[in-house]
Amino acid sequence: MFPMFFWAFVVGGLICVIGQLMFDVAKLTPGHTMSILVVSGAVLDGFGLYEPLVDFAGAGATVPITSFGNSLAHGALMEAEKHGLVGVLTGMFEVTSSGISAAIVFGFIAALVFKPKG
Amino acid sequence: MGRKTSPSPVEKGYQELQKKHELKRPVFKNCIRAFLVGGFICTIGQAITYFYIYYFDFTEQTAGNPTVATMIFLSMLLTGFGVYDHIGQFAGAGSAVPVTGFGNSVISAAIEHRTEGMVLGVGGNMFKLAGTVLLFGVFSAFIVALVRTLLTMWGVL
Amino acid sequence: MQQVNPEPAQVEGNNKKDKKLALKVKRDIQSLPQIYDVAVVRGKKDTLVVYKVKHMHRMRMKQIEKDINKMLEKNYPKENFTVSSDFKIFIEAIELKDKMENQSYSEKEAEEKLQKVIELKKAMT
Repeated sequence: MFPMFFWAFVVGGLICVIGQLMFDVAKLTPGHTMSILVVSGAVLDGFGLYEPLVDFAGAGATVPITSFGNSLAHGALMEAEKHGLVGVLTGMFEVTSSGISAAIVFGFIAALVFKPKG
Repeated sequence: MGRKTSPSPVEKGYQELQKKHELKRPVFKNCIRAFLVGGFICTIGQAITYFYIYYFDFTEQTAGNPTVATMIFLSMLLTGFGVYDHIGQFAGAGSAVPVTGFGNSVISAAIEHRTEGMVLGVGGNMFKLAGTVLLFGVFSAFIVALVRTLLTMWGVL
Repeated sequence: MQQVNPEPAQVEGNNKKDKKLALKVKRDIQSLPQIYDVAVVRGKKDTLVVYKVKHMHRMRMKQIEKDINKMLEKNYPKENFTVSSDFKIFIEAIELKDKMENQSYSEKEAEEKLQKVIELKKAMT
């Protein structure tokens, strides 16, 4: 259990450092950075490299935004294995839905509850 | 932006002036901050994951879902009380890269545009950043899965 | 490293041959260097084998699972194995074994619980 906390910290931190380098050195906007990271997550899962990272670093790999890309690609691949090419479209949001639904639901609740600050 | 002629002396002078006044970014310090804050957020995520594994019926494989939902809930609280922006000032990518950063962008946009009404204000503006992430995420996942499935079907993989 | 190291548990009765088999399976898996804790629970038709992988080897967890499946297929072709490295499944297996020993589960309940744990292992969302 404890090695998992250590590696979650390290791997999560490293992914954020990659993001920070994109901000500072490549001078990219947050939108660009997040998009590149999401696409990287999907591509790494295509090569079968992201799941071992999740096994090794736990939340260090599931909490950064790269995991969105990974879940989308993973869902699509799993469904395609079962149902052929159509699975690529049907399976995509199977595993990812919690993050996006949560963002929408809590965003709306927050808009109802919180007051905008100046 | 193809230039056929080299910059004139006036343009060169301006470029040098711009460089002098441009905000210098302490790259190393920013990276250390991003590493610490990002790592810390992920460690909290790991604690939440273990909480869900022990006390609920989630396995290591499925505990990622409630973890992400909980982290976005936490980012809602931090964003609503105005704390997340301060964290963002300090940590840069350390607060933007984790899922909490995604949640913060959706939720802060929703809160900000509430004055414009629920339908046009909140609904129309919530997905400014999230839309980009979804677009590129879904499309890249589609291409990756398509390529891999076709290669498997043709016996290459 | 913290080890629970439980004795193999059995759902139905006290069949000596079954117990020996379960112990043998446990020893086979424990002999692998990447693994440090094994629990075996035998049911009527299925046998649940759960283990913990040393952290540095976790990157190869899927490959290790495939290798173990192959080894069990080869050595015990007549048995039906469910193999998992998941921490939750491990916790559930220990709980099942403890409850069986405390007599708080009847044989039928224990078999049902075992099937539930095997279903849990297959869950993807």
